[in-house]
Amino acid sequence: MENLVQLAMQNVNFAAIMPSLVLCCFGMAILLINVFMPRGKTTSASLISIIALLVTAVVSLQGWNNPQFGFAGHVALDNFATFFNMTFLLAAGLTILMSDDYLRREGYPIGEYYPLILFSTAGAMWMASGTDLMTIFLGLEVLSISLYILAGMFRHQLQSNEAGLKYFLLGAFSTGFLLYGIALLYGVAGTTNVADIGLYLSAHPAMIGNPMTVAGMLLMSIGFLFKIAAAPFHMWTPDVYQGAPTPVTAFMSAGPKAAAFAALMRIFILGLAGLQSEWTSLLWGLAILTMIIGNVTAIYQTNLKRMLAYSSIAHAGYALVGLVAANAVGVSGILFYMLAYTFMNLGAFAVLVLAGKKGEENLTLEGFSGFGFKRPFLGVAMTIFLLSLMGIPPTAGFAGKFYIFAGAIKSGYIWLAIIGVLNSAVSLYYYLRVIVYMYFKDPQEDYSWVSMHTGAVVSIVIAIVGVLYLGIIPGKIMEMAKLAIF
Amino acid sequence: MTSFPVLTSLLLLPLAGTGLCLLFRRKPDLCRALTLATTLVMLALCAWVFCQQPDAAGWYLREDYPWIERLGARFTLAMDGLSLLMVVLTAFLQVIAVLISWHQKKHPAFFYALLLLMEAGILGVFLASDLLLFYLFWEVMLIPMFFLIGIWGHGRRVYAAVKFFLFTLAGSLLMLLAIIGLYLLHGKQTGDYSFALEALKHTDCGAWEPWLYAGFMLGFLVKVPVVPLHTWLPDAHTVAPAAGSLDLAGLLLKTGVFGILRFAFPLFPQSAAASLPLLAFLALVGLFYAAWCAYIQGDVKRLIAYSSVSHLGVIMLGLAAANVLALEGAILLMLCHGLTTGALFALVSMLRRRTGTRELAKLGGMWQEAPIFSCFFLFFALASLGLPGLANFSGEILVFAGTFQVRPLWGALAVVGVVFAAAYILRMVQELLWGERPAGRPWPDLTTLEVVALAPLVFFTLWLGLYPETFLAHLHLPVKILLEQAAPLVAAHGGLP
Amino acid sequence: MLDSYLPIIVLIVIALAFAVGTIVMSHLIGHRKPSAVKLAPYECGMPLVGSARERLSIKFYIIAMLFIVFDIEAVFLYPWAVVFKRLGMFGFAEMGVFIFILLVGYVYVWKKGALEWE
Repeated sequence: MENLVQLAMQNVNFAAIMPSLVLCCFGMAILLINVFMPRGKTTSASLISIIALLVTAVVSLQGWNNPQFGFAGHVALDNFATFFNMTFLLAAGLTILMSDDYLRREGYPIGEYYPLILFSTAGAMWMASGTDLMTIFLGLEVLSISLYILAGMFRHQLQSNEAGLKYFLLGAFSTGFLLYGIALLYGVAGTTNVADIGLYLSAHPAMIGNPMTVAGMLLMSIGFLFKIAAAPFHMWTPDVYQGAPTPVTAFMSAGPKAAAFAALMRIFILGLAGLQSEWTSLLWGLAILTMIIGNVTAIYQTNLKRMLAYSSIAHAGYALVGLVAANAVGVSGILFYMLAYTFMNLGAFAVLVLAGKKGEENLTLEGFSGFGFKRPFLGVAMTIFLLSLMGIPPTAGFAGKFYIFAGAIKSGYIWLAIIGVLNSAVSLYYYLRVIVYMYFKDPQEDYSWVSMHTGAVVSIVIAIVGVLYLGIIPGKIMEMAKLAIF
Repeated sequence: MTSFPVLTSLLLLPLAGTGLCLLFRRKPDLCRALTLATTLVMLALCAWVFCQQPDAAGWYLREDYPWIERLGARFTLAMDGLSLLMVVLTAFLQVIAVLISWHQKKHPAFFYALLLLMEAGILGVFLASDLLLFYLFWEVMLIPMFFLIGIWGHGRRVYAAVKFFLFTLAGSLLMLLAIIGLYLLHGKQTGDYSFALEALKHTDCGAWEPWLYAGFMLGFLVKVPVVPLHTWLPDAHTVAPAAGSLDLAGLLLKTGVFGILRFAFPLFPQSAAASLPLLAFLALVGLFYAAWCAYIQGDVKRLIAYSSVSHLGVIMLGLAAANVLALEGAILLMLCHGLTTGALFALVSMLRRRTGTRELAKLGGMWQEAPIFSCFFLFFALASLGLPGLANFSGEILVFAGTFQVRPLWGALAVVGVVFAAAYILRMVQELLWGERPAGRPWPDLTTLEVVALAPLVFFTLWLGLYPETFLAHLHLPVKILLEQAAPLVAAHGGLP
Repeated sequence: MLDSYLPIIVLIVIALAFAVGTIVMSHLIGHRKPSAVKLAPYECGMPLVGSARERLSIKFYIIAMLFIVFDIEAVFLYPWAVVFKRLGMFGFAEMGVFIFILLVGYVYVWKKGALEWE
């Protein structure tokens, strides 16, 4: 017993979990502050949340090139985790910036919103820094449960209810698969530590072909692919994205996706490297399926939130291509791509946040007729984000796709790259249609309800700067992404 | 050579102009003046470079800055004789474009901003000597054009704009894959991962070469456009505003040919040599098919659009003949075509502004009605059909002479094609200028501003027709270097000079 | 080792057979005279009052959830108390953090009025 305590004490390394600790403390503080504030006063909560994210970013950066391990190999704040933490914090920050006025407009100025975003960001951080399947699972749950609540937060809107319930039911289901997969892998290797599983499998090559290992790998992939919104586990995405409050959708499309990629990459590349041929062929097919389903279905959408939901499926497909390539270019490309996607997608959603009327009935293609001329700044911003989503240089989207496809070609997946590029060509059509409506159609309205709230405008400006910076001079961030992989 | 970064400023000036136009979007007059000033300064810069002498390797100017170190992509701009002529053409036509859209009513600031942005993109394409940088500009120049067609176009503008964008972008995406493939191949062979054109020229592509070449060519041929891939062009031209048509015909199409000469041929000489008969075939098919299409068009602008495809057939034939004469002729013809076709498009827009229609059936009797307009129109129409002494003739005769040297049959067929050109041009001129004038209100003649815009075009059309050596002088060295680098091209035709 | 489960399996089989058998037998040989009252659910000779699908006040769920949360706390406290001395200050601090987090939740719940019935 004494030894046990000492062992536990030795392994305590708060530096390894400091970012999420800070975030959780702030989250609890905001929770308490909220209950003592009159209802509807949420601006201070959003400001404190921004401060929380900034502090966390500073704390998290301590782990750059200064890896911290702790808690018996359960967590590691290495470069990989730090890079992803920055992505999560960015996603959360942009989301919170655009939220305050939006929530007031929609009539739900709920203080709990901000702590929930912070908690789910903390969950995402555990997923990225978890080096043990259980830690990763814990992070996933914290992330998901917060998001279930956020998705259904507009209690009196049927669509929001649907989003919350659907996300919860399907999410819980997929978590079951994940847990079962973890159990099977534990059964094989006798440990849930990712690195130890890798060691065990390389020491016992016979176990690699074992059905239990493969089944564990498959079941676990289902859990993560669900969060990534890869086909055929994407069915929830459009409904949830459309029904959830727009900033929450924005966050969901960037944060959890990146978190699931982080966990998937750590587990597959470190733990299941022995099964690489198996998971490569699995993801190869899924990447193609995801890209095609996402892009082709997006063509038929007229609601912009729904269209961006399908487009986010397609983007998950592009990112999977990098994982299939499984070389330094492709994998660091995923890190880069997630950051780029965070900028461009959250930017696009921030424009939607400002452009919507109460109830957001007008976020359709028709509703954007002539928007570009009536609201020049938002129009240009949206155009930049859409061009980036298309992958047109000089934007972040181009640089990201470039790295990922270069990785695929380098590993010899020429056809995968060609299919990916053709899919980009398909995607041009529906992104372009938004631009067509914004600029080529005559305005039906004068968009007088659009008021430029400081928070959302700041997040748009940050996103534009990010998109162009990553597009024109991607070298620095790419260097960091390269340093961040294992 | 000076230390002043001329090439970079050529790119930054229009970008700065774009930014200023967007900033002062509430003051259209200021924007217009700014745009004209920018284009004039650019033209002056280009004229200065035009008077310089190249160094031994054919470079007028070279600038090289670090960009994405990790990938080996550098911000390399280089100007040889070929790109010099293209840059001069761009700067010149852009001034004209501003002049002919002087009275832009609809969203003027945005319009001028896009014109300048496009100028930056096109100049970047002509100057970039790094494949990634080139691709970046290649895509950047599409976006302003897309907006120009989509916002300021007439008729089915949305359809035409989207078609234009999808066609050209789909082509260039495959080029992107080819660029990545070439880059990785080179990196694997030499250990030096680089996008520099000069380095990549020495890559041994092996079995991949035809595929990479095909990827590049697909991107370029859509832009040229060569006949089966040309369908976006008439639509785009039909609806585009005057300045858009001018830029489209005068500059955007040239980027395709330029890309072939600068990238596809030197990078993949073996495959290029093997593809020459196919290129010649496509060029001839385009020449005849487009001429035929032009003949039956009822819309003047569409007719000129098809004539443009037909002329590019001649240019492509010059490329396929691949000897000194034909290549110099083809490049010269690019200049001439930019001037004459651009001028015709501008004239048609002026016509439409007066008459409200471009249908030949509803037009006629312009010679009586608007003599100054008619003089200009006749002049450029005759130049376009290749009247000796005017611009197109000098280019065409060089192409034909070069083609006859290596493949007399191709040359003979092409000359027949030019007769077709006479047919459709003369029909258009006859109906428009001397046909029966339909009843209606009078059509005013050209304004002073319009004459001012057209006069420089007349001047250079005459210059190119009478003394093309001024421009050819800049081409001798680059063409010689190109043929040395792509020796198989010459060998493909039996080693004739 | 599996042998020791045999009696249990036998028992389950017998139990299942008995239950299924009774139902099947009563269906087969029983004499039936259905009437409206008899077919009603929970037939016990009394007339029905309202529907069985009644909504319960949401407060019951909230109380139930709160109960579980604080119940877990108690469950966790017991083993901790047993080894408290050996864990020393470290264990004390850890448990303090744990209870503090619960306290935050408690304050939140209280202020939100989840504990008020009316």
